Amino acid sequence: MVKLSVIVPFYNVQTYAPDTLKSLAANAREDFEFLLVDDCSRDETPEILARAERELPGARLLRHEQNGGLATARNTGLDEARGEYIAFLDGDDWLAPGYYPELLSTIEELGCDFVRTDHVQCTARARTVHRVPHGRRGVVMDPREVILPADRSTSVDYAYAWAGMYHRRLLDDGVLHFKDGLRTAEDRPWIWRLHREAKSMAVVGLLGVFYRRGVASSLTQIGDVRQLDFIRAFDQVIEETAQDRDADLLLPKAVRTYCAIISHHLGSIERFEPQVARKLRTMSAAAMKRMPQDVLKEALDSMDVQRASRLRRLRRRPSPTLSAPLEQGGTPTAEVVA
Amino acid sequence: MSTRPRTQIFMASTLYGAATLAAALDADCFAPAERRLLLLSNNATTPETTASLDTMPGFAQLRGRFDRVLSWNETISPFHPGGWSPRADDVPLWERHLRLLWGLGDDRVELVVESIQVNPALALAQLFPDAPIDVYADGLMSYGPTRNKLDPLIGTRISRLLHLDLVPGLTPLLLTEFDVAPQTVPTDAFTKVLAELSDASGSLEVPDGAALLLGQYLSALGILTPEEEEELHVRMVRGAVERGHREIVFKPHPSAPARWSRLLEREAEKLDISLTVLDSPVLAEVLYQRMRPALVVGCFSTALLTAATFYGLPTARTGTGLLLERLSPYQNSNRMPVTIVDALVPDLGDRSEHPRAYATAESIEGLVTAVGYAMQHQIYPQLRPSAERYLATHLDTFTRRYFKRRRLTALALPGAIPSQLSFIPRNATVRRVARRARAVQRRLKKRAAFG
Repeated sequence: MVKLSVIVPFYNVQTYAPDTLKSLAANAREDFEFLLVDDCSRDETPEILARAERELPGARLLRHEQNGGLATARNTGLDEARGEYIAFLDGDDWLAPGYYPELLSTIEELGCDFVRTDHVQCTARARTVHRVPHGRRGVVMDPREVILPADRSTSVDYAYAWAGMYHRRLLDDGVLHFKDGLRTAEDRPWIWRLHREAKSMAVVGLLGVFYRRGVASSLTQIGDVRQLDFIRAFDQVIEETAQDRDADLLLPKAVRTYCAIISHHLGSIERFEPQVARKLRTMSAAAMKRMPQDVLKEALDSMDVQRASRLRRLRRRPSPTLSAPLEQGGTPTAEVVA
Repeated sequence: MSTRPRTQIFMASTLYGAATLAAALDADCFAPAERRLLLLSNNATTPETTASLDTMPGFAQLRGRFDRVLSWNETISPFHPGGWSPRADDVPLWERHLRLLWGLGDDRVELVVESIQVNPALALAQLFPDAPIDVYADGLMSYGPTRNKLDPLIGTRISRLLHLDLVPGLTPLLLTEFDVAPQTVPTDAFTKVLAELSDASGSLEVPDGAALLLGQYLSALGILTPEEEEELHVRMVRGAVERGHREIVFKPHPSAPARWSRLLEREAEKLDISLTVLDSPVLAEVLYQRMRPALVVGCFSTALLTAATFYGLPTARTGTGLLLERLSPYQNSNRMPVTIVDALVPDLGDRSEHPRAYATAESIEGLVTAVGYAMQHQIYPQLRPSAERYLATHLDTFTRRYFKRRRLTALALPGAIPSQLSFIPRNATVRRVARRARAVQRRLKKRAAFG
């Protein structure tokens, strides 16, 4: 029986994939399977993965005919996962030797639906420790209870899917799948749903995942149009949270986080190409119109002046075609808005 | 006279370095001590996925010289040895912690480290502020200048620079600003250790008398792109084949990440030669003894010098010209190893029956002094007269490659732009004209390229 399935999407990471695969080899066990998902890479990644399928114990290679993005690639892995537990890893990150066996025994001992772990971020040789923003460690908690408060960083704001381990029952309940096609922020709606729908969780330390920063091809570095998917991601957070039984309690947090992310993007808008920047403004303004207005007002009132006024300015923009549905790619064009 | 026991901590990051230490111990270069600890630091880009040197074949032969082996990576986990150092005010806490962790009690601690200018050696030196330091240099870097001004609290604690006699007769420049006395690790002691390593390295499937290519790992230093690096390796293959070798062994750099490209294999197929790529980490020097290569090819690897000096093997270099051009700023500490290899090792493209190098061990001192001064004139002001003398008499179309006109001008050394014309680099009109001329040139080139 497979104890643990690790889902590892790869997309054009020929330089880093060997490290990732080597670290998986140092985490292999006869009851672990590694689902290597090639998201239609166009460099040497497919050859590297083909070799890994032969040499890495427990490796299974899954191929996409078309590039579908991280969310879709993880879903492909989830559909094939046979393990009692699930974990994720990105194709350019790596693990400390023996990390998965240790994490597995931790979650088995705690017996909860999922655990969240700290991690190490690496920019070349400089490393920093990043922690789950929740202080009670090693105890089982109700995930719903740790979503709030709105004005503080909490476990839902630490959205990395690879920083944890998940029991199979979550997969069977449909809680572990990602929204297909999201090219960024895919783990935001995911972590919110996880915290709303799972029954039990725990936070542990461990520091076994090494997350590579400053990779030139990495999405977070590029201000391209894919970044705008965060709007679709957060629309989903709001939409689903609005239907929750505790919607009135949780929505302020969701709206506030959404606003904080918009404000963050506006604050460094020079990263974007001019057209994308225009689109970002328009779509953000539209998004704010869609939010529950009373909750939005409260959220803006609770933020610091700089961020709040940046958002208020955007909110006042005249934008005639705001009702255009985003899901069909029908974002208002710059010309219409100008 | 204190009666506290003495503990020597030897820090090593490569098998070559550990072998150097073993040879120095065998040759009684160190005072007797109650305890000798070997502190291993894995400085690879991703140490978590790179074999630590205590797992390498041959390490067991060295192990016996030390009472205990410790891991620096584990000590500072999850941080990287190259990226971590203590905050100055935390040092007393750290020293207390390390003494407990390593069971040092109140022993007198002595440190033996390589590359003292950077972490992890620098961090270790900072952590034991009272410990005297010996520096050992496991490569050509010892002939170059210290790469930056060393904290006097570190520099004044250094008593010796132990180095291999890679360029017989040449005196290291490293740390001379602190009057650190250089001392050679006897060559026979070193080759004896290497022979032990070779015997212990198990079976190696390598053809006898093949050409041995030494891979570099320059993309990690940002000097070349990974693609250029692969191209450099391909050039080594082509060059060796053009010299008539049909059997080739490629040894990747020990700290290079797992290879992803199959460019080399494809090139070998195209040229219809046999290519063996060594996947296991093994010292080049072990291969010298095991396969007696007919030719050793490298870029600026120290192993080129050990091949020529310690084993009398024919050597050839490639790519050093590009590196001399590319290394930036001029002060880049790799410049001295590149310069020495470029000057002492014949070019791979040299087709004559007895390829010759520009300089010999006896004649290279002037060049090394001049380059060393040009690199770090502020640390070694006393070298100026020798540098001026060398440049005034030796600067010609060939030796130009070791100097940059701009650098010579900045330091007002012979070979600089003449003083009557020194206004040129700063003159706005001249710069504008030059810019335009270059643009025109580029456009013409482009037009020529696209027909």
